[in-house]
Amino acid sequence: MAYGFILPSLALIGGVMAYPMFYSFYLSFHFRILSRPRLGTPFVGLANYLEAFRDPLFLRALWQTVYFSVVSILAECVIGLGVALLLNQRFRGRNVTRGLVLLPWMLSPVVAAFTWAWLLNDAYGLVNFLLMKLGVLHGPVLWLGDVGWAMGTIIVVDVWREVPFVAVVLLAGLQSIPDELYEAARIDGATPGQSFVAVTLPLLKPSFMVALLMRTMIAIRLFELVFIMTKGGPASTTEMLATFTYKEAFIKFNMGYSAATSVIMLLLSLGISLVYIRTMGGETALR
Amino acid sequence: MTPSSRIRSLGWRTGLYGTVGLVCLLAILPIAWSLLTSFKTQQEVFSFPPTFLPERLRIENYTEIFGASQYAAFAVNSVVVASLATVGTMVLASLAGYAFSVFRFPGNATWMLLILITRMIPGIAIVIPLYIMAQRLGLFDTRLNLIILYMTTTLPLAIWLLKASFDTIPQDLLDAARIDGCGNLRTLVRVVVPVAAPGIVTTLVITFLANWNEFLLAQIFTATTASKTLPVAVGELTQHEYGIHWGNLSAMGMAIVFPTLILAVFIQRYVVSGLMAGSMK
Repeated sequence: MAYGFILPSLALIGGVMAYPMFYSFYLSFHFRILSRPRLGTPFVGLANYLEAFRDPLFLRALWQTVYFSVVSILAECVIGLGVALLLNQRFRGRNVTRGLVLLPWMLSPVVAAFTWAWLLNDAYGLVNFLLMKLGVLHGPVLWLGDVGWAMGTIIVVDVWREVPFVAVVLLAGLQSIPDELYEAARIDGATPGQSFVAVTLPLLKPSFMVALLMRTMIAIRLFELVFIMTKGGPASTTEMLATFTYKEAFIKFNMGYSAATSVIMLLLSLGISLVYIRTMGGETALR
Repeated sequence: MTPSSRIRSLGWRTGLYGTVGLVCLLAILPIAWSLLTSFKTQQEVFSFPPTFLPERLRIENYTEIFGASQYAAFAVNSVVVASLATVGTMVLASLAGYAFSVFRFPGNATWMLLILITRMIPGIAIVIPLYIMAQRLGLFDTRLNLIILYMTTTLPLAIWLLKASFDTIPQDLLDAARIDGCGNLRTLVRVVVPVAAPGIVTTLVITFLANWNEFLLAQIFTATTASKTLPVAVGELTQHEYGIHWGNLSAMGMAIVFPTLILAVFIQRYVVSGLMAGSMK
């Protein structure tokens, strides 16, 4: 009986996610260029993987994905904690504010990307105008076209988009801390600062782990922002694993090689998730 | 209250409301700027220093875009694909969530864990085989293909959210339905779904938004008016070699954002609470 209810879902997930995943593994050990079918699909062993780790562009994309993930997630956790603490205060219009703050996260990533590209436009963008008006900048900056700025700019836009998510997860954590603990800390003579360090932060750890896990999984896949805003440029300084794999697969139609790089991404994703889940205490974290 | 503590409290409140205002401004400024741009002519757009308000509320950017037949078709594709995929996901996830919540059967926990793990698979890691499969099955550039893909990618989270929401229904209620002679399907439809309505609305909204905003799969699997969706069309407009028509682009962006805004305003409370619940999973 139970299986009758579950089977349709399992069949779909099995056919459209699990099977292609194994197909990817299979492809990654083969040579296959879709636009040249006459070359066939010969078995090449680990050649695709060896090529990846010799390919300077792939290594660059790998390093930049790691760099992007670490910096953006760190910033999102710090700012997200601040926003969560703010939204946990009592003030008028709190519910409306919580909804408004969530907007960047609900927004279509493609729309967020071009909206920011427009704001950051070097000649007519609002950001350059305001920063020049305030005297921070003396001349316009090519935020997305300058090798020194592009990655930082992508990180800032990603932080804007994802802080709401981290903040809401941490807010849920904050609300689950019983008031009695703060009361007890106050009676013991703790200052607000001390009770923040001794009560809030340790009890927020599980929420932080959840936010870290979800954000890492999503950050590794970063695609839309880069695809719309920079296409991986300038000079490949914003190339990510996802954009690299996309170009190999759907511009060069190099299916075997791109399957290998996508498997590397998959393993990276699963590996990091397992480490987090271990640290969070296995079953309890998954519940 | 002593005078000094009153001053401190006043300072605290000013700081609090000031910070709240700043955070809200940062959250909506980019979208608001895009909305203003969508009413501007190309001339107003390319003026420096920037003009903040458009000269008048001209809707030409909207009529230009959606008067063009292909964009109307993309909009229809977006609505059809996102809605049908959401309905499909909700039906399948309700059945599965009910089974995982109500039945004790061997492998229950293992299956839930496996479903969770599928959420960790990045889309790009499965699109290459899916692309080859779609070509072979003649599904490339069809709405049906996108619907199937979206249903699958949103299923795992939907099952988890619905199971959690069904878990909160008192056992007595299910027992009463059984005594009244309800089978499982009838119990699900008549008892579980109405009682778990908040959880269902949350899951529905999160699923719909994911489908409505999806870009990577649509970019790869659609090509013509037969199935191309709005996000892909917007993506193309941003890649114009000879200057981007920011007014038109913003108008189209607003068309994508509009349902999001509606959802944010009217049912944000469900989404926030759902996210909070979902984040604990």
